[in-house]
Amino acid sequence: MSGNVLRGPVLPSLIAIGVLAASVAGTIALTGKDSTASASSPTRTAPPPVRNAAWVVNGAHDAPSLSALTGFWIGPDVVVRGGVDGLHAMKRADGSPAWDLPAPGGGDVCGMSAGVDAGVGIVATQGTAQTRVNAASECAVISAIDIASGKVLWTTPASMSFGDPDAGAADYAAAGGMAIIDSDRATAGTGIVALDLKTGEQKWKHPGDCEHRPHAFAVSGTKVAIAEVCSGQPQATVKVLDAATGAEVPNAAVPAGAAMAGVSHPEIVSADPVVAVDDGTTPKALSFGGVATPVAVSGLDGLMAALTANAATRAQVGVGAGVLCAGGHQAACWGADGKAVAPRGLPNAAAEHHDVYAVVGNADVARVVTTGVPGHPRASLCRVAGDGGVVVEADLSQAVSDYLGKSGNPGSYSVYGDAKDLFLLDPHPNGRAAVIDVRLG
Amino acid sequence: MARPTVVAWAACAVLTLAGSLTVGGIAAAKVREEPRLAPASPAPALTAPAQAAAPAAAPGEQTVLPAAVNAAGEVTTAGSAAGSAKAGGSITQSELDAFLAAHSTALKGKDRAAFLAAVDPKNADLLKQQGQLYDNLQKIPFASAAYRFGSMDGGESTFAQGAQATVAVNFDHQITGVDTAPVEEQYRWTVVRGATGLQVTAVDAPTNRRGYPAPWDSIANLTVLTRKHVVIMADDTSSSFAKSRADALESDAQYDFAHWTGGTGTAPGFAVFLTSNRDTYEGIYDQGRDESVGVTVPMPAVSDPSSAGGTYPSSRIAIDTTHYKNLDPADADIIFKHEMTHAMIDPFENLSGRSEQDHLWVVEGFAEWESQRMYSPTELLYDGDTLHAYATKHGAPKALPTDAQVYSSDSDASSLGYFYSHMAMRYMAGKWSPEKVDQFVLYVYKNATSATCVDDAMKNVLSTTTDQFTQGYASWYRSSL
Repeated sequence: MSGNVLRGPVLPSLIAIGVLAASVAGTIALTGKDSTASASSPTRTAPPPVRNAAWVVNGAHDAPSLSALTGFWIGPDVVVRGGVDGLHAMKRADGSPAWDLPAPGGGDVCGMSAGVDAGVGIVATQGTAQTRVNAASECAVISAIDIASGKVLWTTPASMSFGDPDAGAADYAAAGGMAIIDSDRATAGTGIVALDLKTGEQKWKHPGDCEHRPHAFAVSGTKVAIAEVCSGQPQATVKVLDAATGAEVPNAAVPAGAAMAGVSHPEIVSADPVVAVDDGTTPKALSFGGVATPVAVSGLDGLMAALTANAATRAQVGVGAGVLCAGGHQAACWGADGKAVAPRGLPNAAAEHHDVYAVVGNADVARVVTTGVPGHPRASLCRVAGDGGVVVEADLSQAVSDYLGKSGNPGSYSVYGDAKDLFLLDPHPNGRAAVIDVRLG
Repeated sequence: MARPTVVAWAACAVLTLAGSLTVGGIAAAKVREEPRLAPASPAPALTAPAQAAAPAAAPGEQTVLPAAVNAAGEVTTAGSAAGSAKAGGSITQSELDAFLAAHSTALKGKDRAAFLAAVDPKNADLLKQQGQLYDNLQKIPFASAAYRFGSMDGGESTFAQGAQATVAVNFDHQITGVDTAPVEEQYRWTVVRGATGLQVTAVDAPTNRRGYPAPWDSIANLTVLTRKHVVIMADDTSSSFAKSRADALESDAQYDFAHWTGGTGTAPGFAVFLTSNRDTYEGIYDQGRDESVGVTVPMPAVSDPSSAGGTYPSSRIAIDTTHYKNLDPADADIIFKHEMTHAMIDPFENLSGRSEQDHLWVVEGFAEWESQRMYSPTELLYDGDTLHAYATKHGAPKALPTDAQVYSSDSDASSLGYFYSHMAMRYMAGKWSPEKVDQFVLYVYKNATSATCVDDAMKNVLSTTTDQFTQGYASWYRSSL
């Protein structure tokens, strides 16, 4: 049965090969031992196409701290790399500059929304004495950016919306026509506010009588998932809100009841499906969707590490339909039942040293990029299904593969992608390649 | 010998012993917090090295990454960091280092055009000012002089638009025969990226002024005269005075050195600036002693002063010559000797912290005594009175002068503080010896931050106590003056 599951997603790739052939003049032939083939599949799949880098953009030299990655947006015509001192936009066509924008609220960039909505992204900055309400508050100034033009649509101090002069923004997203901002204050009375993405006008506010912890917030599509501890309640409650109205989505599949018992520091990884994790207790727990019982997951350290290391951008956690994968030394994936999923057929899985980058971006399945290893020196873009089945969507050219790491010596990169491109980002380029666009078709 | 008509002046030594002089190092640049991202590993070379296990390239497969498109849209060699940096608009420390090195080379190589090439050509006023600076600097006998990056407000920028940096620039210099080690003056430059590279669009006072402005910064057509132990600088108001008194200043320097018995470690010579323009005098070196007519300003070493035990290796002297142009030259000699005495032994003084025991009477009393020790009490005048009359008028001191009295903003109180300090040293020299005075002063200077620096010097050098000294001094004052 797994073969059938595998063949479904393969089809678009096979179709794409025909289109790709003109650009890369064919595909490569694998050795007779096709490591990507499922053991249950009696037929060999066609070798994956090899994808080249379309362009490379270097980061600023001798400004390593300023070049540090703070986020990445993918738009129809431009991509935007966030640094500490502002945003640099590049044309998707050739990587040439589209626009530059110093930190719009002043100070350093704290972070960027994980994605954009209707071409608008959210940036949180430290602000300056002129732009923030309270000198003590950090990441307290929010700006909305039109990513096509780089125009700052509006800038406002978060504390104004929260009503607490000390409050800043811990989490922020652009969804449902709103800039949705979660307070960094664990104290009651701050909560979540939503501002009109075009104007900055406050549209709704989630009742602020519950405690919100940083990263207990995620947005997927038009859904906002939060975990909060409300007065009189012994444990955290996970809710899904409609991004446009702030209304709680009824009957949302969320972990509840026993699923949240003992979960002291819930974090939300994804809003659709809702994925909640907790690293404050032992064993660590993962709740996926409406699963009734939290699963104490071995191997969850990989996800926790990814969340901890990349909390600002969540760059190394990819979520697909019914599966979530985190990058790391090896792929760590979990299915909708909350149980760990062992990907089957990753090109580098048999190597002693191998690494995996989760791909952040739009996908119906989780995607990872495996690094090259002896025997399969090219990196591979793979789709991981909920049952662990793997389809190699493409191999990456040897030059790109070597950039990502080889023979067990990987770099620490982030990978973003959509249907058209993979973007490989060095968080600390310091004059080296900061963004590489790998054209997928 | 002409009888000096000693007017009461308030010649000060160090600006203050407060913390402002103890601040070492440079203003810290803004520290930018790294975002919480995974630690970076060195990126591999962008060209793919040969790999034993690599399969044959697929048709159309790249063997190397495309050439990088930098932030300005220009294609650079793959992996070329320098190209991206310059075209990317980032004003980096390495660029500023190179910019300042070129500026230093122009100064050293006497290349005026290259020196001024650093300045925004559209800024006529700044061009004129920097041209004046260059001309002045060429007159100074520097053993070394170079510009050095200190810090940059807000750190480096990665943006091309309006790339601008506000930079603390150190002018590290050592005047031959004056400075035992390089000292630093700071500037605050505004630097922008112009069509032809970096350009200075403004030069302002630094946050920590550190002796800014020097005469070469603020004086047009600076007169510079050198003697063996003195480098004399003067503006137009005192140029003639400087020329006529240059040899006398050298004699005053030799006088101070000849009398010092405290051993090696003194300043080898003196840099003296002369002006009779009161505004210029009060503004020079940011001295902050408006009531004075002469001042000695410690200059910090290039390295952190704290690493040298809190001492400053050199000083700069400024004199308001207004009162001395038409008076007996002996009056001028006294103030020159007074300030040179300060500068001579300044390198001994621990300025790493606030003094915990009043000892300005030692600092100023020693300079007063040293500059007037050749005169008997009957030869001195104070406020137009004979010393005897002045002493009788004010009575015997009940205690040693306090710091507040010595540096009082009330000129009468300050003059009396200087007088009592001077007399205390005369008493010390008479009861013990001039050599003991030198040893006593040296001890206090080296232990200036101690809460018992005077008490300890009394005990260890004079084998007495401060109370016994004070009682003996008062008794001597009543009986001798």
